[in-house]
Amino acid sequence: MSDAPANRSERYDRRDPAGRRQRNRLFAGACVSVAALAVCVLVVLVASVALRGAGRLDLAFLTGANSEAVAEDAGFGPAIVGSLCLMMICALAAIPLGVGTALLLEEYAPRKRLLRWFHGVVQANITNLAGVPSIVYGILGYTALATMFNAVGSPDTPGFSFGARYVAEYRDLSNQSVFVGLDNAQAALPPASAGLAYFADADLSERLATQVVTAEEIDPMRAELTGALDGVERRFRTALRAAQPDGQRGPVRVTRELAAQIAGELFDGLELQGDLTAYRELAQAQLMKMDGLSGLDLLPVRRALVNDLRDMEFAAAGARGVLEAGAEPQRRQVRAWYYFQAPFGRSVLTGGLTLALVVLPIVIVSSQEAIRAVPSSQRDAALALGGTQWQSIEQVVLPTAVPGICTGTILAMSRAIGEAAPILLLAFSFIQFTPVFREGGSLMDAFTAMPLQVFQWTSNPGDAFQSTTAAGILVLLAVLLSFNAVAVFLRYRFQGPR
Amino acid sequence: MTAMIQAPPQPASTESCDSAAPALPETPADAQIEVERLDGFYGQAQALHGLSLSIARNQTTAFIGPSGCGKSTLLRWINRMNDLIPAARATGQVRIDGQDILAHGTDVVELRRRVGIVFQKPNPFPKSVYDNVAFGPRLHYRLSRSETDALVERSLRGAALWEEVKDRLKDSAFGLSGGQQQRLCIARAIAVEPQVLLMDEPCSALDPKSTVAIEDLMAELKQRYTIAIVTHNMQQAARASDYTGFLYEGRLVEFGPTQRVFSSPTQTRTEDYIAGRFG
Repeated sequence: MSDAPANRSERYDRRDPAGRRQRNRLFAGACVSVAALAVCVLVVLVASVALRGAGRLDLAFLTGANSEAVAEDAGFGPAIVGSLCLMMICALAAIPLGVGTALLLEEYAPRKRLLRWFHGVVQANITNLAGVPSIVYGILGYTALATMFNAVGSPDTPGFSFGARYVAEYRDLSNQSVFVGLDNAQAALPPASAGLAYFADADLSERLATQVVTAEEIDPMRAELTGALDGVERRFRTALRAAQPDGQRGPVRVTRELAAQIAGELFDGLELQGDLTAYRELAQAQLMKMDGLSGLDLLPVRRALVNDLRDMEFAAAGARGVLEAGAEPQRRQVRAWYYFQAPFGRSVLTGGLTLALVVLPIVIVSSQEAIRAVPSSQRDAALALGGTQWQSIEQVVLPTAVPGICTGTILAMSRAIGEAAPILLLAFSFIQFTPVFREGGSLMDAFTAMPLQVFQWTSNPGDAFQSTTAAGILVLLAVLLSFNAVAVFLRYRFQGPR
Repeated sequence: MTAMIQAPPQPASTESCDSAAPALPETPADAQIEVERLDGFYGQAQALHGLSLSIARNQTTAFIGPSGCGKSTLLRWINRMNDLIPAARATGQVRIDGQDILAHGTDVVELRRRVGIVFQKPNPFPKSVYDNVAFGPRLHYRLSRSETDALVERSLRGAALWEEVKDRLKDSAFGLSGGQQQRLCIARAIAVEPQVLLMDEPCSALDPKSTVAIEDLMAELKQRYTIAIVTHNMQQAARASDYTGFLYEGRLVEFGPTQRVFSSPTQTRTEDYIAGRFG
């Protein structure tokens, strides 16, 4: 037994044992030091970002709207909500499509020669698509989804839509909008014009919107409106005069009683179709502010009321213009939450579907691997019992493959959430509102997303946005890591020891 | 083990003795499956060359031969499992109760319900014992809870496994031993109540003890099913079958009652193979 190695070592030229071991150690050492260097850089990077961004990481930042100009006001809310919406759409589109494609490629391999060739072409393409630069997907999304090759109208005048209705919008003299044709026209009026709740009359609004108000109807309405305004003006002057003893000019002592009196009388006896309570309360509150302060000029009160009255007058003038049918109303869209249009425009839906395209090859390939890992003996067993192909897939292949599919899919999603390039052409980094989850929001909303917002902040000149950027990066990192954590958890939960 | 051997009810064992006692005719009188000039191909390679034979109803027919002689291919054509291999095709006829199942338009799903198969390696599903057995019936029928319970118990009893697993029906089938898993696969196959049971080297992955259990089971199962078994093990063919076919390089060299084939083979190649001179 001990002779054999001795014989062998005599027969062959021996490799230098010390040198062998040394090279082994050298390689291991090189690996460890390179890895350590990379980890060090990462730690420094994350630490510096954390230090810079931690200060800004508060609730206001997480929920607040973005600001382009003031770094301290810039919030991440729309971007976070935007990214989550994108993820939902991306997952809903990419998972069924990707798993379905993987099943088709793996389970329904064709027998015919031509189809087999086609199958091979599709497979090769999918593998190659995983390597296509994501900005290309962005352009694809813009062309095929946002504009749909301009084949079905344009995003602004879509060829197909539902879930929207139109109201007439008029501009008054102060360039404020007056909406007509809305059910809740009062809510749409500017606050100062609340006294002109005139259009709350649904029947009238309806007719205004459809432009069938006749001249005979307009005149009495105008008269009533003008009279009402004159009445308010007159009452204000009277009240003001009454408050000034002995017809003097100058400082006036305003008591609580006086304020209440003026406010109360201001609108007394007015007969408008609308409700004046809101305006009366506003005026009273303004007057009440003066209570207890002697020697104060009533000028601010007057100015406030005059301003309001002017607003009312402007609104009335605008309305008059409307009533005389001189002004062309703008059609304004009011969207329901389920609003949908055919060229998707630069919307959340387009963004989500574009990201789905980006991750689709990854989902397909990882699902294919998970499906391929199901032993063929399992399929044979199901088919041998008289199961159809679909029964074998549904009851044997999929249940076994699901953990693998989940892991691959979540990793794909975490790639999608960090992608900025595909949505570069689709998102609006300056938007201030929360996409989708707002009044009148729908999947057709413009959106921004976390990586894009960070990108936009970074490209701002100067240091102002540094901490804001850092805070954004921290949130993005946290979301990414939690995605990966779920993937790791799933893998251990399902693929660990059974 | 002893319980297993004693398990077959008395009438069954006497019946099998009776049928074995008189010499069987050279070709089965009551053939359930008739194979006629069957050629089988994998792509360009021909695996079966003009096989013609009959498989007797309610008897066990064994196919023996060296590796690659086509015996598994033959078996897998009987319930068209070869459809799953893209390049496989066959010409000729395989008639089951007179119906050519290789013909176009054969309902393969229905065929496989009638012709069950047990594979070489036990392949239970990663489900509970209960769900494994109930799998096949659930593919075909809507079953109530009590119907399923009864069916599972009957099938497991039929596969002589009930006593061993009745307390762990809800446990994973992967927890069973190899022999138990194979019997579970048999239970799963007979749960859909097929007419024919094909067995593709069902014992080659099992220890001798489990092999005996399965052979005993086969003796019992043939009361109700026509059994065709492929085996590497000549002793097994001699012990457990009524008819034996010897295949060599895709051709049927000899076919006849097992007793006759083993005691006085007409072909020298059969004799050499049985004697262990090649293969």
